[in-house]
Amino acid sequence: MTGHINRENKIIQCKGVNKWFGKFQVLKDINLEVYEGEVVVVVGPSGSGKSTLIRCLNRLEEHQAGDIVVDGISLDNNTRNVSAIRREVGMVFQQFNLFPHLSVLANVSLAQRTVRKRSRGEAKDTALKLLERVGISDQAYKHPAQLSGGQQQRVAIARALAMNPRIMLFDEPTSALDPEMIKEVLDVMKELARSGMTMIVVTHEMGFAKEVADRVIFMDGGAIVETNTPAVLFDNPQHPRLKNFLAQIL
Amino acid sequence: MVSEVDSKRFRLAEDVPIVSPAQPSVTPVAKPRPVTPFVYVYRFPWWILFFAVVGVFIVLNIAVDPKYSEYFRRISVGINITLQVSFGAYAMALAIGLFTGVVRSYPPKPGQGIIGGTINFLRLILYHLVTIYVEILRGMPIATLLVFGAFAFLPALRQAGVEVPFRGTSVETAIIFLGLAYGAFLSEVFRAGIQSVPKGQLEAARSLGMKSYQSIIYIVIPQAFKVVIPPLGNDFIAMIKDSSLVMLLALNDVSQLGKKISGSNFDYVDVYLVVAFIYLSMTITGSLFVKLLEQRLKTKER
Repeated sequence: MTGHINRENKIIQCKGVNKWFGKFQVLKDINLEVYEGEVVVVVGPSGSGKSTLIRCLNRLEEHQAGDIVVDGISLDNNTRNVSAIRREVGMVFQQFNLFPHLSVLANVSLAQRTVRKRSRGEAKDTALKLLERVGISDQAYKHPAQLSGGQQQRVAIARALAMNPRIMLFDEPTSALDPEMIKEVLDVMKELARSGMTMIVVTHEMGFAKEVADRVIFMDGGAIVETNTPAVLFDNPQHPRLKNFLAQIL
Repeated sequence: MVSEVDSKRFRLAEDVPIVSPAQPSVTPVAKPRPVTPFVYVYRFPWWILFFAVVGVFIVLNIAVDPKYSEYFRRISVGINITLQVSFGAYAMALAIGLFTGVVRSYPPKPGQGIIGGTINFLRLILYHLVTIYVEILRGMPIATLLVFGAFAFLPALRQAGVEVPFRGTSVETAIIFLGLAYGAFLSEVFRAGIQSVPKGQLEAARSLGMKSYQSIIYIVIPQAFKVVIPPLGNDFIAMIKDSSLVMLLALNDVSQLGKKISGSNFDYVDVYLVVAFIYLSMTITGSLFVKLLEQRLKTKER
């Protein structure tokens, strides 16, 4: 529970969102509203459409039916809207996707300079401040491949934060990490949640969901099956599919 | 009796302290397996030594033997044109190849509206124009292209009233048409390099709000370039050799001079030994340069 939720502002609104990969329907009639400052955790079995859903929110994937409105901007084929959205929505990937040819500092500075048009010095200051915040300021001049997985993912978080996003999307941020590195990444995410960031997190870390989430969404077969506060959802699941899922993993 | 002995033994065994005497507190540091000095035999670039020794031998021969030094003096005049054509055409091919390679790596998709958006539609046209260029120039013998350019295309341009500031049989013509031909090859080289960059790189750049051209320039091309250096070096060496085709335009490059001299004195063996030596000096220097470049760009990446 983060206690920063602004019920006045629905920062993300999905209405009747559908998406197909060829003939296969990956998203079925998704209706979702996220308030400013809310931390939403999305859980569900593989192939349930969790990743596709959050990738639709910054239009890395295009939805084919329904409306998605992010921060007051409707997502459609208008390219200017897409760029405006992406500036406000940070994303952290399962595979980190750091830029291997650039130093850690350049990874965090590049988009600040090319998108936010900040000066070199300003971008560097912001980058160093953020690297400090995620606890790796001493690695600023190394290349990503010289860092551990946990450190790389923290750089990726810093890189996304450097754009001063209003929303952060996490696509299974700890799934590619060794067990001992998961905690350091989750700690950074917890701190971020406490600071009031709006977050949508796809994860298999149920402990994180219980501790931090304001709301948990369970997806299966491309549809939102059940959604509730973590306490209710985990302790008193209603839908048989969710009961089965929780029995498998807890 | 047996049991007594057994119990004695058992007691004896019990008296032995279970904990073995204190180990020396400093555990011996594991040393790396000693490497035989023979490892340097494996690391040494023997091929460079080979060329250096043979090169010195040939240079001495040319310096000492008046016949070889005469041939070398007369043929080496053409190095100038060979290098001008090679470097000029290659620079042009790099620019064309990079541009067309990027265009062909990202086929446009329709957006909304009847024609799917003006920019998308223009990109569609560009994509197909570029593909037509690559397919034609890649499939045409360079000799045909050079002769056609110099004796058909440029005269036709002139007749149509276009002012062309150089002659048909000139270094400029050679550079333009060799560059066009090699641009088509390098286009595919760059496309392969661009496709080798993981999709997540572009997604990460785009998710940060970078425009597609920014993502391509700052993220994709630097990574693609590193991948394609070996094939680019390959094509640079091929370019030095193919520059010999300019003798079709009667330009006095190394090959043309060799042909002229051997044609007048019929000493094909010695003249073409010198020609071969000059070409090999240039191509092997090119190889060494490419190797050096590869090592310089080998950073701390995976």
